Amino acid sequence: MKDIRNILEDRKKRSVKTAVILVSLLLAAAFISLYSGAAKIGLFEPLNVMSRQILYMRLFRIMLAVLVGGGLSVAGVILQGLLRNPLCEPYVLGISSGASVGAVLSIVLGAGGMFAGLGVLPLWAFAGAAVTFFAVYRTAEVSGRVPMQNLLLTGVIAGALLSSIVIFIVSFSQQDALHSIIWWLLGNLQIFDGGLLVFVAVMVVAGTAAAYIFSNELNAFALGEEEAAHIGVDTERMKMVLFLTASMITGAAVSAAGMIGFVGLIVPHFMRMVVGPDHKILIPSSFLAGGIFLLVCDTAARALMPPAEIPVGVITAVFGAPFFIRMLRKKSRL
Amino acid sequence: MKKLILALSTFLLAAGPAYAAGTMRIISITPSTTEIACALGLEGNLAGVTTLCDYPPSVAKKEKVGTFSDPNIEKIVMLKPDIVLATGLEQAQAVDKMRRLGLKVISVDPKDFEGLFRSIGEIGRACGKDKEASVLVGDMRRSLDSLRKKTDRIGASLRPKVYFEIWNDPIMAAGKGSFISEMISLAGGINIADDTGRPFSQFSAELVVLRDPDVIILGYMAGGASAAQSVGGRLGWGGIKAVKAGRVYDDIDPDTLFRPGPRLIDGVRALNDRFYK
Repeated sequence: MKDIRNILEDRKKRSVKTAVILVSLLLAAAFISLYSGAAKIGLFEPLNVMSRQILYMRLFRIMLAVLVGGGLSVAGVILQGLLRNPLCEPYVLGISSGASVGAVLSIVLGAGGMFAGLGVLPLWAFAGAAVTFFAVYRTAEVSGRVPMQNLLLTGVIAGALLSSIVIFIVSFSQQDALHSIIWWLLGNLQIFDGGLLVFVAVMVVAGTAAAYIFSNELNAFALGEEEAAHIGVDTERMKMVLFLTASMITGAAVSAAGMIGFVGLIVPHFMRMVVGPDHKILIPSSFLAGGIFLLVCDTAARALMPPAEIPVGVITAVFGAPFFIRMLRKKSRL
Repeated sequence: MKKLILALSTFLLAAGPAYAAGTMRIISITPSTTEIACALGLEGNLAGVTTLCDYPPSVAKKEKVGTFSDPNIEKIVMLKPDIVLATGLEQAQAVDKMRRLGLKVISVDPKDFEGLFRSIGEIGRACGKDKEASVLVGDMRRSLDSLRKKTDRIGASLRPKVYFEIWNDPIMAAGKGSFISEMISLAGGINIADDTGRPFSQFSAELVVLRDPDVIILGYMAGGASAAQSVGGRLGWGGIKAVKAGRVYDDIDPDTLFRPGPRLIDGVRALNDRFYK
């Protein structure tokens, strides 16, 4: 009995330690990011109107990077946990491809401007993501149940189908501008719209909170779906809630920032190596770590080659891949 | 006798190419070469164009041989062209295939006005419209010169700083080495993105604020609400001079800015007009 208490005590201490480290890293990264960029602004320099505007723009971009990086990582944790497949990442269910079909359609149909304080393209992208999720989920359903393998395969196939629809529309459209969708797909965290940031914040924070609340259920799923049902988890309902949560986070992230790869795949794996498989710790720490990772990558994207910017998806892959491989080798040596 | 030979050879020299041009079958697989061919009086010879070719408007009736990025080689071969007009990088593969099938392909990829003049000359020579080509190039040079004469008088400090936005999400600008950059300077403006060092790249949004352009030109037509309004509504961009002065323009036909053909002159004039309004 004493042993268990010790273990729990130890776990609590460790999670507090992890939280302190991650939060301080995040604050440090945000501070460095705020004072890096193509425009040089000294730390002790008195601010004029222009430099204040620039810091303000950076602050919004920092917030978006943290939300998108954190959100994609949490979505990755949920999907890897439910599907028990290490290759899972937020885009595996075709949600992001659905979002890009929405974005392309908004350009083709010439739907510009604003709606309810939001740019129309992100709204179309989010709608595309939502429609895709429900279509995939319903298609995978067999007599009231949604087998995981069905869902995964349906999602992958829907993703491939939707991506080719994007390519079809782009290559046959008469609008030259549409070729620019390729750049959108590479991902970008510049944000010009406060409403969009609020939207992403609401979706990501609510989704992360939901995932945290159901972390015991996610732990049960890690044993296998049948085992989870045995210990009293209403598996069908939980699957719906958790897949929906992951998809709404992903849809919001993609509609605001395009398809930024790698974050949602490697951060969950990395954090599982660091803090272990318990979702109660894994979810908040993945959120923080994903935020830090994408923030650092985006700072590099905007500060390394001024006045040009590097697509942030390139940086996440170039920094992320070697780092991850090293981590994997180190772990298998132990 | 000598006179007769001279007269005969003059006749042959003049009539030969004209005869060739009369029956020559040309397929153009880029909108810009279609425009050049039509400006050289070769519209009647066009046996095929792409779905993107829309100027002059009458080419819409021509046979279509696919899209710009994906020309249908089989159809092109079936139409038995004497010459195919194409462009460089994006169509390199298609050009290679057609050449292997024994087609004569003229591939032009001008990077600046001098290059464009050479391309027009090359197309003119290949299609028997040498004279028309030099007339067209001469006209274009004269238009540019007369514009340059006007803008040369304007001192560097009086020239407007210009931010030319190619696309908005992510924001893309044209740097040195692009037609856009050359056109801005010919029109009497200073391109704030020249130092990116490459023709097109993702551009830093905060540098647009810092460099505070006098004029913003949008190179795309955004649907719905005015793009000029949406630029002014961007976070942090409200204080930019061009925004405050209402000098954000999205009303220049993008084809006169991006298609390396005779209409680029209209594009330069339109830019000049917006810079000194």
